[in-house]
Amino acid sequence: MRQARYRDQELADSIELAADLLRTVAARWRFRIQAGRLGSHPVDETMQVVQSFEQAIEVLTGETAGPATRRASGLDTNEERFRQLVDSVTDYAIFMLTPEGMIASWNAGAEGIKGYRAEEIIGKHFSIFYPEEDLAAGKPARELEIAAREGRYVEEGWRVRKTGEKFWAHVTITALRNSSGRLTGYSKVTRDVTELRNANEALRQSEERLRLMVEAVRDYAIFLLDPDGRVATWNIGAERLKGYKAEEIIGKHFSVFYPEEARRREHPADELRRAKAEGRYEEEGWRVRKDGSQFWANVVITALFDQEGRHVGFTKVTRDFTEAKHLREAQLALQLRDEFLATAGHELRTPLSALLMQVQSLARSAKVVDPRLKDRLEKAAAAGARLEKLISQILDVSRLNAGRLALDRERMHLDAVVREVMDRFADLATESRCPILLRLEPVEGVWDRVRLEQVITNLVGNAIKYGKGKPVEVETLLDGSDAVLRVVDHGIGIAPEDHKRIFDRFERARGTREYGGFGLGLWISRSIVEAIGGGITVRSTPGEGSTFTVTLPLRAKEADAAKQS
Amino acid sequence: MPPSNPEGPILVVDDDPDVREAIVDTLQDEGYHVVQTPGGREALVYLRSNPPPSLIFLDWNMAPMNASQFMDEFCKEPSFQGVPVVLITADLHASQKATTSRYDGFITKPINLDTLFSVVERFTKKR
Repeated sequence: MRQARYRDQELADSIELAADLLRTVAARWRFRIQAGRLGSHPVDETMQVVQSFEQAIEVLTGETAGPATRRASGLDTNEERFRQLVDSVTDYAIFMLTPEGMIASWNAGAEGIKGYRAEEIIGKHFSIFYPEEDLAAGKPARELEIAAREGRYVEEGWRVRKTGEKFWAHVTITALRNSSGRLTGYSKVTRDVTELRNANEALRQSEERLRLMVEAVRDYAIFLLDPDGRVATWNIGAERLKGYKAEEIIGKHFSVFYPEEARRREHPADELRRAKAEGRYEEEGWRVRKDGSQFWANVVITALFDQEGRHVGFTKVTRDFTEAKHLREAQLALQLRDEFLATAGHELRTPLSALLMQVQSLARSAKVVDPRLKDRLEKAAAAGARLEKLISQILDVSRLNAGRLALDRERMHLDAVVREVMDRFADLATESRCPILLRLEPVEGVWDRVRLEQVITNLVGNAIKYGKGKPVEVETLLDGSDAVLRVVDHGIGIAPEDHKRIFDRFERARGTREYGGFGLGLWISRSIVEAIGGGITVRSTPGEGSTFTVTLPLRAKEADAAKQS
Repeated sequence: MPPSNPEGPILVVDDDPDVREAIVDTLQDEGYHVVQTPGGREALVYLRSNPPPSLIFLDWNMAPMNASQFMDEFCKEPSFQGVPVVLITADLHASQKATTSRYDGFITKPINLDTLFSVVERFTKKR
């Protein structure tokens, strides 16, 4: 009878243990199904397995809860059922150890995971599954000790398969005791979680890399705020931009970055409210560094929500836009200047035009009345004409700066345009005793007549001005698919270091006192030629003269306007 | 083509008084009969109640009625037909503006006296 009771008690313990194990396994798989973390296991089949586990638990525990007689009669069947169940589990190695750590049972899962068949492993010591360094450290024995003392030992660690290959194992060792409390052995449940560990490790590494990357970004302050706006992380860019070290700023409220005035109207809190409501808030504004200096910042605040939609904080990305702001302001100032020049030029021109006409008309009438008066009036008219030209240049510059140089394309002969301009220069050329030699090959193309005349006028005007009375040659010719205009003088020439500079605004090779004008002529000529799609170059030797060569495509390019800087 | 009236006065239409008067003074000094209005509306009023001028000088850029708007009204009235209109403009590309539309010629600002006189001589007789 005692024998029977003892036997009964041992069975009850075993059944309880089995039910416990099954409960753990079933619960774990249920969780994985619910969390969608099944990997390659199909949901349906997994659910079936879980349900059969749960049925098995019911069967086992229902039986043990019943009367002792029924327990005794169903004994063999239950034991058998339980054994089969454990045997059929393939994802878990489930086996028993004797109190000394010898392997007492083996299931299909154990074989699958560890690679040993039951007959070759039963009776061996379980330390065979441990890597050498663990053996040397006496780990297997310690684990049993802990399980015996505390009932259970759980860990994750490296274990060794029969092949010698290591795998990352989740291990549960449970101490088994009989009714008198004597240790009867251990159950050991081992799961191969290498893949899970690899996935976690990859995730951890990727998070670590991302963290390192953010920390290393130098040009952007990138950091996290908690939901109340306290600084939670800090990167090198934030340190550079704002001047605080991580340890001085983490935990402080981010409103310290704002000027007093913005803090007073609760702007920082308002930004967070808007970021939370709209997901994102962006603005540009003044921010304060640790040393109190201010910078113009571009700020983007993004609200962060976890998977359940709970608000967990904000990311804040801040860039220093101070220079960009200054640049924009400088550009605006330039634009205003050009607009002013355009308006001023236009407004000056109208009364000047009336003045010129009156003076010229008076000079004409005075011819009869008083020749001396005529002379003076003509000088006044010449001065007025010069003023008119300067104003025209200002207008051209403002147009070119604004990229508003509209080209009126029409078909024309370059040589004919040159001839027309030369007619106008006849007086000046005679006056400066500067013979003009024309070598004009016929070249036809589509350009802007007025703008082309301007270029020719400027180049020939310069050639006469700096030509020391020596002959000026003007050539046109066709060079492949380009029209070429060449203006050659034998005057003072240009030093090599000035060759580039003379095409810039307000530049001239010679001092202002010697030769008048704004120094805009060549810049305007270059801009016009470039707007047409051509180029202008100079070759010159000081004391021997200069050659300006304009190359034009046979068709002015169609770009709507010259985009000048 | 209805007959123009080379005996008629020259009408100068410009909203800038300095420019307008400079043209008027210059032409009067040369012995022409000149009348003037400060804008397109006033010019239309003048034309409706006076014998046709020999020539109209019309400034391009006027407010509130610019040259183009003036021409829209001008062309509607049969009695104005045959009166030559010459555009005055600061636009360097005026030649295209003038040839592609309803004008009989153009002169650019600043006004060159020789150009002005040669245009006038085409349409008007001196008094």
